[in-house]
Amino acid sequence: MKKLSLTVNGKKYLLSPHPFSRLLDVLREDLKLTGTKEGCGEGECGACSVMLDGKLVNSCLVPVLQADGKQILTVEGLAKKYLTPIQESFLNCGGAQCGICTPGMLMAVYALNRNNKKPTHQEIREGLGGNLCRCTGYCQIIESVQKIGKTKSATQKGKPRS
Amino acid sequence: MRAYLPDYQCSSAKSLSEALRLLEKGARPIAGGTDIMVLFDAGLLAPGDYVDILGLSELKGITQKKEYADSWGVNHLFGGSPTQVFTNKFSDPL
Repeated sequence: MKKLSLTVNGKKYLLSPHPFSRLLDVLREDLKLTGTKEGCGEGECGACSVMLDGKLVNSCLVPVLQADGKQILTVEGLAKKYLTPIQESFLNCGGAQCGICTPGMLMAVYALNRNNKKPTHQEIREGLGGNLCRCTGYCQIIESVQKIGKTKSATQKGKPRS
Repeated sequence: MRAYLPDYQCSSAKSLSEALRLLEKGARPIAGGTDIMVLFDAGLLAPGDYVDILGLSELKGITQKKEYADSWGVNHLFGGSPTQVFTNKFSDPL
């Protein structure tokens, strides 16, 4: 089977999965990056969101051959030494409850925040439109996005990552 | 029930001519996955050969050429030089 080259969180992997394998399964099972969650498995819930060459995608809908030669960022790649301001804010504002939707939410917020540091309430709702949460009722999640960079560090040392 | 992976072959076309060659042999094209992957996971996608045409630069955008055929197949010439009316340089909303 043809070898595929994926760059995940800056690390290059050579794999030979079946080309129709879901990117989600390759990340979780082959690379053991289980931060990315499977919610519905049919592109409705956004729990499996990852960045693929700078675009937010549902990894359950990406056949892995489409990720050949591309850059992938998963939730594991967000924090380096310290948590990112996005994660700090989710911690502080109660933006995570059971946690299944959180990795996808974080990736969606990351995608939203890259070009829009001060999204309006409506823009946040649109940015998170592809992500379902069944616990928090979204209020705390939206608040978390609004307060990015404004809350005290929950981990006491959470320096923003450049 | 999940589909049985070995029943499916899929390759990524490097050029439009390669894609057309594979299509002629009976492969079916895929360009995204939103519907295909859902059908596949449900075991409802027909087994066989598929060709991924997502990366084909020839299929990115629409170009207006000097000569064109109208809906009756009659050839016409544009007055000016060929103009690119649309390219796939979408600005990513995110």
